[in-house]
Amino acid sequence: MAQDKRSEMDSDPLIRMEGITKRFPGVLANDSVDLSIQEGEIHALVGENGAGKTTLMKILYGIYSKDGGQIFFEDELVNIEDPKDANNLGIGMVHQHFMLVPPLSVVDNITLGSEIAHRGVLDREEGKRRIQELANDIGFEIDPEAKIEDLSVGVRQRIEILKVLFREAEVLILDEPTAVLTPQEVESLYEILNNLQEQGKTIIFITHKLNEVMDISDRVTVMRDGKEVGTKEIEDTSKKELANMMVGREVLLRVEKEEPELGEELIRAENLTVTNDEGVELVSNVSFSIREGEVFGIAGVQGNGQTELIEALTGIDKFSSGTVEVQDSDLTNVDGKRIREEGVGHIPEDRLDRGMITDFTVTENFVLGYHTFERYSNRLFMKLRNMDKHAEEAVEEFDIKTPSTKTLAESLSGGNQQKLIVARELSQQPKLLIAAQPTRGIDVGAIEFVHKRLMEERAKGKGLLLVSSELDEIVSLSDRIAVIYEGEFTGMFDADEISKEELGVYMTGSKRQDKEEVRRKALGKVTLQE
Amino acid sequence: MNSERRKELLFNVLMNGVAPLVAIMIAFAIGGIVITSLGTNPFAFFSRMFSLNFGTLRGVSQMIYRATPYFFTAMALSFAFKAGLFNIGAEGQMFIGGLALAWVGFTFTWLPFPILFVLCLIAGFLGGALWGAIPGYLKVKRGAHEVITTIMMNFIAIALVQYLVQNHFMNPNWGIPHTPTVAEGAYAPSLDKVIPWFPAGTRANIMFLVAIILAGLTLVLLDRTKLGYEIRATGLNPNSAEYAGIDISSRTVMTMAISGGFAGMATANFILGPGSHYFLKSEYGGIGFSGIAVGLLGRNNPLGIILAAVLFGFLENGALGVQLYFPNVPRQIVEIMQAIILIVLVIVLELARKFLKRLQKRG
Ligand SMILES: Nc1ncnc2c1ncn2[C@@H]1O[C@H](COP(=O)(O)OP(=O)(O)OP(=O)(O)O)[C@@H](O)[C@H]1O
Ligand SMILES: [Mg+2]
Repeated sequence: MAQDKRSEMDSDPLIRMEGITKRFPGVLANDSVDLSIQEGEIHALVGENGAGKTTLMKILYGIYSKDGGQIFFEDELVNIEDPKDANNLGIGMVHQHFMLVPPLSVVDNITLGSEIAHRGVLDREEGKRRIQELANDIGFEIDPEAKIEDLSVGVRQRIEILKVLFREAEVLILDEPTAVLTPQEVESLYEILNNLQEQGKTIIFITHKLNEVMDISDRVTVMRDGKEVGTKEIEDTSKKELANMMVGREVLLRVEKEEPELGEELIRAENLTVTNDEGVELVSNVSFSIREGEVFGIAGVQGNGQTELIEALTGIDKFSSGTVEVQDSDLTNVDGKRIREEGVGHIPEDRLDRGMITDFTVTENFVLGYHTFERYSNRLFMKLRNMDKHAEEAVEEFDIKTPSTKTLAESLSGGNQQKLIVARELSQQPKLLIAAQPTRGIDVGAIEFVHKRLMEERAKGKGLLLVSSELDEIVSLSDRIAVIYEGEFTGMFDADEISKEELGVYMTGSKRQDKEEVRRKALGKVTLQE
Repeated sequence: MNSERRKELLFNVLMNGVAPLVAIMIAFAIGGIVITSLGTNPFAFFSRMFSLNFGTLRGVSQMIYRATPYFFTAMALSFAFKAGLFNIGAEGQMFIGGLALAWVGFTFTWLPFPILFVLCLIAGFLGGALWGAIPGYLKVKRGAHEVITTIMMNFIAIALVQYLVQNHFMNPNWGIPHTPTVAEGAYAPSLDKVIPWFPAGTRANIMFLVAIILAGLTLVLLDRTKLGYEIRATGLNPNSAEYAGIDISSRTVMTMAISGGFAGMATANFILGPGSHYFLKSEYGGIGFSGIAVGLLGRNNPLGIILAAVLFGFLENGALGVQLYFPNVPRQIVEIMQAIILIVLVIVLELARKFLKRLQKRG
């Protein structure tokens, strides 16, 4: 595809952003940025957390006003005051945090704000027809009457895309569209994007995954510290070069893992079952054991019970049966406070809806969950000075970009919010860390750092329970890997005896090991590479 | 960066200063038009009102007396608001708290001051807290929205209080239904007892100071204590609070209880302060509801709430006094103006927000 587009690349760009500057209190988010987008291309936008990617796109979409610079659309100077102006130019945006109304149906969500009406009467059927047509055009089926709350993340994202297409967008902006998707869903997204490109649409997408950049984009622009540091044709660049451009130094794209030194058993979980209100088993009879210095990975397609398992392990939800012991304490169905006191940390998969409070300051978020610990409060009062001191140290160590620790978490970039959560959990020195998607939304440099830190903890004899939809991450960090499928562990492997491809086969449920054997291996009775 | 600071300052000044002032001015203008249409010179009317309130220390003192209960009910609104809850039930909480504190005052009559006085305040707080906690509990257990339940609880409170006073506490020979008088040990000292330069013989009493102290304590509670941290976390994002191991059910109930407790103390000003010393339901109607307006006008900030409460006290006290001079202007003019302030405020705030957005766009 990229080749076909070559000739067009040399023509005048469709969109030209020139000298875009945007200030936030204490931050120069965009510093005289130039960006030009050719008609019909897939253009990737990459850069470190806080580099200003989202800000630049929100300016193009009229959500933020710019402090300086100009935007040309088809060589004409345009003034994009709000998203309505952007829509009129045919520019649409899919945000990283979906903006759908969960209890409403697909049609109602898509037509919301641009309803089709005849003489003031809503024409819902016409809306449904057009939605189905649009969906078919880009290659998928959809039930327009389904309720959003019943749909998976991947499908919700397609609906966001349809919503933009429904408004007759020619240019689609996608902010980290793959961050929340499973590898399979990423594949279907690629297909959709390719179909859109064939229809002549122009696509700009932000991502931290350099594989994706190489896979589907025609050109890529790298940003660093609010500045544009270069735009490349995809065939003239490599992952390595892009990583260097982003971070300004050599980045290890692989994790260095030492031989494990296993110690005592840290956690022993047996026959865990989680049942929902309707009595359906979301987690069935899961058993495992993790020892000091061990990383236990759980691989699985999202929605197979991993969220429920983790939420019950960390005191948010409850098991209907089974036992959890952390060293000698029984931690079955105790609350989150007790679990943290026993030295178990938790990085939740949803940073905004679990991991932080956006209206709290960086410092206040830094102690969330640990606020009752002696170092942060006494019986009545918070120890504000201590809180601040520790938060500042963490901001420094984890390189969290924020004007100060008194800044509201809301104004941090997505990746920096994630880093704040990771920093909080690692700083509290848990003996067991339960981490779900720990590196979601963070840049390659920061991933390298977080992985390094996790491996250091492992070397110190800490344990890690890792859930990630990034197979690379699971395979490169874990010592043992369990596959979860429909709430059950269906496979149990040593990390070095299984390939990503094979894991994928187990993850889709096409293959499974013997139940008893999985259980035995998960509980560590057959001791692996000691 | 400097321009950003300036923008932020402008935002604060506009939203918290200019908008309320404009709302107040428009309310006075409309009030003036109504007064003119009644054949009275509005300038004479308002200047008389002004001199009645501010002309003498006595006037100021009366104004403070009228302002004090609003201070309490507005704090009820604003405390819940800070924790993400809408307590529209200050009216009912005020009645229940008021009857509770009066009951303690006329029941444990042998207790001396300040023991009885303090017990009365605690009873008022607890009465209001109970009435506030019920909607909090219903929200937690049944998912009932607190706006609906607090409003319903208002009706229940009004009926309950009426029933209790008429059937249990009242001497049937009295013309108006009210409770027996509270014992002397429950009396709230008038302000001149604690502030030497205050004129004696007015009804302003230390409940005004109690309100100020409570407002200060509230700030400390929310910003510096563990409980306040958990209350705010629960209000701002219950899911994340749950993740953090915070017992969100208990925090929600507690927030509503504290909020209701503030409202429950509102009538102490009338019952314990100088005056008739009994619970007279008909005298307090609307103070809970007006608290919503005062809280909004005060922009949920303690200093703002004092000023807003004083304005409401100004209007009310002025309306009482000014009748002597302008008998053809009904005293309800004040209620009209209070309502207008609220309506206009909402509009002005929205306009200010739009204007600021426009300004931001220009950069
Ligand atoms: N609404 C806001 N208020 C204040 N500061 C903001 C706001 N939005 C972004 N910023 C700041 O601007 C900078 C750029 O943020 P932006 O969200 O554009 O980064 P990004 O490149 O998208 O990063 P990420 O990869 O982490 O999503 C950050 O330092 C951030 O703190
Ligand atoms: Mg971003």
